[in-house]
Amino acid sequence: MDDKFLHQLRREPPTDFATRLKSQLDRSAPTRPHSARWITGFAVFGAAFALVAAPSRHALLAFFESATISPPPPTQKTPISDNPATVEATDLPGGRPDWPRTDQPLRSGKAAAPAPALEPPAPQPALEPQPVADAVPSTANTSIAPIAGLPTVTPAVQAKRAVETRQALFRILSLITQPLDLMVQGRSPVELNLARISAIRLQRLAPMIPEVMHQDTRAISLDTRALENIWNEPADFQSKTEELTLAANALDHASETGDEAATLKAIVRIDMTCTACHDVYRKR
Amino acid sequence: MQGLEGSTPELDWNAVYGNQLPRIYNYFRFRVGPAHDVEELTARTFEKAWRARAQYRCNLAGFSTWLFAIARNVVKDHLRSEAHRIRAAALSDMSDSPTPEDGAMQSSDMARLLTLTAQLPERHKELIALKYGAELNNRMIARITGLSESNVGTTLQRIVISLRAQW
Repeated sequence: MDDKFLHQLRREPPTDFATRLKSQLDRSAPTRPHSARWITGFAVFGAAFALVAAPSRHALLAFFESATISPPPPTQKTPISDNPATVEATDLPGGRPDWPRTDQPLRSGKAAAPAPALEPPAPQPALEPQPVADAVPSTANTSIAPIAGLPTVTPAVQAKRAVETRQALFRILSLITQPLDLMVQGRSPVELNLARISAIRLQRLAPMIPEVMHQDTRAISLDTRALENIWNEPADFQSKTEELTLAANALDHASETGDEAATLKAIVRIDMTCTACHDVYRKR
Repeated sequence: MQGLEGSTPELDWNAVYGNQLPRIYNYFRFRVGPAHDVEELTARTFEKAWRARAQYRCNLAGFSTWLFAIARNVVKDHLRSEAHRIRAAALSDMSDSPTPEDGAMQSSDMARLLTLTAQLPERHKELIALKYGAELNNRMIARITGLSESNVGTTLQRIVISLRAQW
């Protein structure tokens, strides 16, 4: 045995494999570069900030009020204030409505069409005591309150919602993979169409995993199997979730070509991909 | 290959595929053995690289290093996953008969080599696969593994001597 002997043990990849893989690669779209992701991220963040920033809220509040309330007569004194908190409900004609009124014309001056009877939203029980920011005017009594209220949710509630959201996603993923498991275990026949539908669904949902796991909930004690490695090693976690998309792509391709063996192989790959991630990032 | 040529002007991705596929494929053959694993791991490596190709900005030599870094991670994940044993069992149940290459390998020099290298440390298996599977030179292997070039050469020499003694 020598170098030459060892080199001679090499083999060319099978032609059908090389062709199949190339065809599969041709179909895959490249992920956006980091710069594009940053730009998108800043755009989303900027839009979110604009929505929750105090000046924007004031503008939105003013818009909604003017859209739901008829303009006051010229002779009537209109309170002028930039701060909606200083506008008392009694200063407005008819008082400040908590819900769009159906008996008043809209801005256009035309009579409002009779709207379906809408019940005002029932007061929600407060899940957690919410801190009151002195500088932020209260909007709880306005129609914009649901938007403005979002950022004031406590970390505990945010964490709870995040956990619920990601657990919901994983329940759906589990639902999608169940028939695939049955196929690979031989407990149900290999249905290529069903396998392809599952693959397509996984292709759509797998990229959401890093998104729903983005919020670090370690500080809050919640009933979750997520391990802290998810947030300690985000790049590896992201890479593992991308593996699922790739595995789903392979299943999509295999099931589309009607190759039952390749489909089973692709299903096993999905199973492996899930397990590889769970081994590191989920409590047993 | 659709849309690839424009993403990185320095690289002809079709040529990259043609050039790197045999290297990656043989790297896995030397590293993990059975044919069905080899194809899957090769496919996984290229899929990952292809998805990230828009982010790649370097020359061909750098690309090879980058691609093998992906391949090494793929192997690491493969070996770490407990499921790969289950998977192997499931696949053996699935196929009615071994592939021609599987059959040939059982009685081939390659199978014998894999039996011998199975006893080696992972780092040594890695060097064998990179040198004789991927046909990389010592400098490239040093860049990929983080070892010095002379260390790579010396270690490989010792491994080959050891294998020859057991052959």
